[in-house]
Amino acid sequence: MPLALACIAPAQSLADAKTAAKAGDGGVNSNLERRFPDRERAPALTGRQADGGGERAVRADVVIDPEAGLDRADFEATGVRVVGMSRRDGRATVVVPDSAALERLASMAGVRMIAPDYGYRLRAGAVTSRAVEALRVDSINGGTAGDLTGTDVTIGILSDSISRTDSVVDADTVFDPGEDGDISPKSSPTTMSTSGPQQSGDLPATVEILRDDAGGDNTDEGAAMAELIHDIAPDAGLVFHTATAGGIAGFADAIDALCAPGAGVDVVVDDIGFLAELMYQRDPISRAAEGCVAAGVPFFSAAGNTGSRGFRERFDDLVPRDDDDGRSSLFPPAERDFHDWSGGDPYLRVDVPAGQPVAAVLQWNQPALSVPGNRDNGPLIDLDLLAFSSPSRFSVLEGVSSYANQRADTASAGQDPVELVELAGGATYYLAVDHWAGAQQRIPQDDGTRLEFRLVFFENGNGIEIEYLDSAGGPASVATMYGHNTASGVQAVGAVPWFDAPAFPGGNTGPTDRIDPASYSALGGALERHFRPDGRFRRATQPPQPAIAAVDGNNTTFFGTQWGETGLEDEAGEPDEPKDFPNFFGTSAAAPDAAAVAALLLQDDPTAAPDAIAARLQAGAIDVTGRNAAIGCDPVTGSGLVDADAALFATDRAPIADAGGDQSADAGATVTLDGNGSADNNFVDTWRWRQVAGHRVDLNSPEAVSTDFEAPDADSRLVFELRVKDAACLSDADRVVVRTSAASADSGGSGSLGTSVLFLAILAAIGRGLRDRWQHTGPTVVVSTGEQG
Amino acid sequence: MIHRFPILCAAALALTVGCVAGSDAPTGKGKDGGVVQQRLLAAFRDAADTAEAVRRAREAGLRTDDHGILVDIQTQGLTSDDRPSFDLEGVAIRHFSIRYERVSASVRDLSALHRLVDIGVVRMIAPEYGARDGSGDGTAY
Repeated sequence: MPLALACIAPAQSLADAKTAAKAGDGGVNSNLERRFPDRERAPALTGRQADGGGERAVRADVVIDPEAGLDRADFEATGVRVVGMSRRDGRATVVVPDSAALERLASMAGVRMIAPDYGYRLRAGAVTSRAVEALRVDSINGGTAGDLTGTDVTIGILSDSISRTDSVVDADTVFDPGEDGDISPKSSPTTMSTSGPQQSGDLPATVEILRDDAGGDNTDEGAAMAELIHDIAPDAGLVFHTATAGGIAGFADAIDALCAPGAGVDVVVDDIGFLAELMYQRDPISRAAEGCVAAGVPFFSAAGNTGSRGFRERFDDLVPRDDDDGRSSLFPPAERDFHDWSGGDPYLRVDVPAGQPVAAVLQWNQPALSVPGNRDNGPLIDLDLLAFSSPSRFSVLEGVSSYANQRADTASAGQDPVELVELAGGATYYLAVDHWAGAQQRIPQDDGTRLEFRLVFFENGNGIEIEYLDSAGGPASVATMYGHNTASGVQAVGAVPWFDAPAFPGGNTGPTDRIDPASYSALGGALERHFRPDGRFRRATQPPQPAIAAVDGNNTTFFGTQWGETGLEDEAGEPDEPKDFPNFFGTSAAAPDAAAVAALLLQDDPTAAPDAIAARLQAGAIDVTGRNAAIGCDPVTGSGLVDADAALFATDRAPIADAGGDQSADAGATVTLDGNGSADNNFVDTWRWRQVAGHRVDLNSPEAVSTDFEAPDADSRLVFELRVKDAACLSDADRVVVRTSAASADSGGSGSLGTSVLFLAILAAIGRGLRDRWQHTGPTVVVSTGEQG
Repeated sequence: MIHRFPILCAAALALTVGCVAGSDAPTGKGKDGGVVQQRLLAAFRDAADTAEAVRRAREAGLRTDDHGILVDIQTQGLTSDDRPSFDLEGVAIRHFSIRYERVSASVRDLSALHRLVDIGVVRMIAPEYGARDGSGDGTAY
């Protein structure tokens, strides 16, 4: 039914009346008016046309009188939702839920013209992502900044596959080179066109595939990620490389391929985590990701869906005085060497419902020989992850338990400090961490560092109960992120459901009335590594992760969960959610959104380096404070939810840490470490000092700008790290060395000696046939007299 | 005698603990495997055929494919010249990474595993534990 013109006419000026006459209905574009015909005869609107307010809701572009003084509240009083508004430009983008609201809007004083929003997203196909609104991408287009659509930017995607299922590939799909409609592995470069999502406009006309030949069950999740990217950056080029065809090294090589000079990739995003990536040492995938960033390519990675389902524990032997080091038989195991979870409890109960298998990954702070560069520093401690059917050592499940022989007889052999168990659904398990061999209190590589482990659960559904994580009385949950998404420079991305974003105020269903991250979005923080690439001990704090969050739960043409199967249909308060398309949940869906926004920022400034892109995203982020997030930086969403509009104009930069100059100190002296030289273009928000090497000392006020300690009575090279963060969660680290001297000379130790003294001492040592090692702090001179003398 | 027994036991225990703690005995005692990770050996050992080994591996959470059990071979000094030496009966190469000195393969049986061990550059063979993507079904929100 046509709108009542009588209601509109009073609002029109003479000039606008001409426009209205041309449009046909007094300021309301006739195309827009036709969106609200008789409901019985109207086709269902989908995607972009249905965004925001009802199955027939439409987005409208409203021209307003800049002098009218209208604000958002004026618009919202008519029943429309304001997506973006610029008084200076006399423009607003709104979502009109129904014809009545359109009437009210049209009759509003100061409204000059209402037309359908023909925004760029029309090029993004039949199915559009609400990330466009949730991340405020729409606010940066059609305004003074000009449209940003990803032009001249190429995004590299790493996932399982993109062209291996008939959800994407149909008989009309062309591969060049290759066979039409081919879903078999593609181990050499090809281009894909006219696939299903490409025909509907949900993917670019051409997608480049470098390699798509992973074995196993492929889901074409890469295509779903690509669809989300295409909604935000429809003109960005897309390149795909499988991440899962060749194990950990295959993933690392895939990153190298995408980030190689000449590959033409400007941004990389992945959603894959290998379970055997390392927790305490940088592994090949981390190395490749860091190399990618160093090459100038921003790297985005899904934070993971492990939530806070993990433990980080100091190994606490049940009977520490009774250490059965390397028993003569594996089973039944010796309970006395198990970790004490709480109050003498050596078993961690895990209830796994039918059909929801769980993987549990155990790692401990020992070096890994799989790291290239580590030739001679294998693990010296062996822990096992054992599974039982009851809390008794005689009920051990040998086929399920994980008991690799990590500690070898030589330092250049052994296995990586990784154990993994898969717990099939429909049973209750009892897990024990068994100390098999090696030190059980402090690690041999650094006597100031306790043996610790991390145990992370990868769940595959709901209803899994893990003792102490789901009940009180034991250890608390901790960070579950590890591997390359915690690497320096990588932007790990947490997840916030789209309906919890501020753009959808009616959809907030989380436990708080603030923005709530998804419960499964992995917990990170400033995690530690304990070993250098060569396997020698070095404690280092990594930059806090995740860096940011983006939205998940958006529609794709084929991938995800139907809305009705999520249990969110009623509570999400978004009855207009298009029901015909599946919703892509998980941090896998959030990461491509963030990468797509980065592509827009790169289009705006092609010279921006990865740290500048990161700084913009983080500085402009909307703080997420609900559920387990917190004000400011937090370990679930980092700086917060990506806000493309704010990021575009953000000028924040990362702080610069300055831990001061190196020092020397005598025993008993008070040594002050001064971080006052640190700087930020706004202000440094937090300081954090920690010791990373040398004789262990206690720092006073380690979270103040300056800290001090009493120099130990020992000849030692103490290394401290200062990490500073600003309010946007941008951070930097610096190190300082303090050399301390023992109170009296000791021929058995090492110390600072003049060159002449050193050589006299060497001669004396050789003469005595001592087995001691001498060092000085000038040019490196090490003499092992015992073997040579 | 009754009074002496605990003392003797304590002394014996202390001696035992002391000996074990202070010994430099091979730590693989009670465990198999050096180059090859114990769980891989357990999957293959005494398996009637590849199908049984694959079934065991799956139960243990190890990755498999149509050919056999997936393994992660870590090497030292891997070069392109070594590539032919991995073309072994019962071994299907999935990925060969010189930069990361690692080879991903699928292995059919124990003898194939042993043939891999005999290659000079191989220093560790572990199961392929696979990967997880970050997709979910939204029901946990």
